[in-house]
Amino acid sequence: MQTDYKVARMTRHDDGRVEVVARVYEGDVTTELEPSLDGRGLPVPVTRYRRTRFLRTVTLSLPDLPLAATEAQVRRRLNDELKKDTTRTPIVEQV
Amino acid sequence: MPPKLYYPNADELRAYTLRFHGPPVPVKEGLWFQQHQAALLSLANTDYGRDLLCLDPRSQRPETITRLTKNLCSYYLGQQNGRHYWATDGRVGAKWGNVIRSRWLEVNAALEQHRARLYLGRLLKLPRLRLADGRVLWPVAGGITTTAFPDPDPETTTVDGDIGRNSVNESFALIRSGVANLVRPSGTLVASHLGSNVTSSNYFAMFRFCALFDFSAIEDINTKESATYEIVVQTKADGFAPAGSVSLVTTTPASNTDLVAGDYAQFGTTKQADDKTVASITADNVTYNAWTMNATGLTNISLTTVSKFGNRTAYDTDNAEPTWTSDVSSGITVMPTAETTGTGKDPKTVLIHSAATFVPRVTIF
Repeated sequence: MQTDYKVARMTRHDDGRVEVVARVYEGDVTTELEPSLDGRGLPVPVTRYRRTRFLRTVTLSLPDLPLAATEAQVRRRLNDELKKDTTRTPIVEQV
Repeated sequence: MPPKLYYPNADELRAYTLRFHGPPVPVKEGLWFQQHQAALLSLANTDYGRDLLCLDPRSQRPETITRLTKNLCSYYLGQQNGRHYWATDGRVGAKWGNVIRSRWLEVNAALEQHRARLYLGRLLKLPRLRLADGRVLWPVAGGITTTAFPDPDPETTTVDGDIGRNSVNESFALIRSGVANLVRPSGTLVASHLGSNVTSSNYFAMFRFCALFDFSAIEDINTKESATYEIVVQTKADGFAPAGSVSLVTTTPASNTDLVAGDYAQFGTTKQADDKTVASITADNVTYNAWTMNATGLTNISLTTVSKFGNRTAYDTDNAEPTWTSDVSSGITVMPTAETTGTGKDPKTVLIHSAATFVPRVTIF
């Protein structure tokens, strides 16, 4: 089983504080039929990561994130959150 | 020949004297443009500034000016394939040196306003000011930026996806008012376009894209200053005449966390921003394309509940059928949704707002 996060909201305050609300999911790489994008819309098999369950909401702010944190710093911090899960593997994009 | 000189006012002379501890002397042209570049660019990227500095109006040259010297003006064209491109208008004579000299009083007054805005902007961006004695001075409230994204499946609060009438062979009126037969609330790639069939005057597909955003965590007493709705586009098409555009409109899907066929009819026709021409949309699967919301759009961002927007082609919004051409499309043919992995391509709305406790305003007379 794999896990990933998606940022739901990010707020940059005028004093440099950054608040991030992210949602953590579990899922797996599966193959399912999806409408094709060739204009016909006929179902074709697509293999990709699919989320199956919402797990929890993570809210980060000071002191989790430094003042005026960059998006790269936010991503690193959220990737660290995923690593705390001992039963699921983070998706390759968020290792 | 000696260099052309400016004849600064008393304040400028005093500042120059104070800074360089020398006698008050006129400033060389090149040095002056260098020293005042930030305020000049701020001014040059306004309608008034373009007119005052004898630059092409923004209706003709919408690109941002990134450099202005006495005889050069550079416009930023954008990024393609990882490279940046500029167009530079260069003159043998010192066109802008002469324009500023001849309109010195007006230019100087305008620059004063833009300097004040720049200084205030820098102050607000500072995380905090630390005084010489170690005390920390927190800046005043204002200019908070909140970015919201739709949820992927399984949705918690908001949804995004497209709803379309696909694989049909019918007139513009019928495809526009018909019942959707393809709904993708969980698709990674969706569309917002109009496609024609090979049968004369008939169309094959019409798709509309819906995206919801939750700003309800922001205190309702905040003032909404400005907002942009932004999406990444993978591929686009512009096959009809007149050339196509994409509109930003409001939507009213039956559910905040799912899309159904009936939502095809739940797209508004009131434009929440200026239409974006298909030609101006960057389709590199990386760059965000932004619609800057007008006053109506800003009003439709709710701080108490979910805000609902979407895209449809301007032909669809305006109910204006294009000149039919066989087997072509117009609009956004492929775009990523919040369903994609990672966080760099999700549709988003960026809202700049300020706490109502104290909003600084500068009035310049």
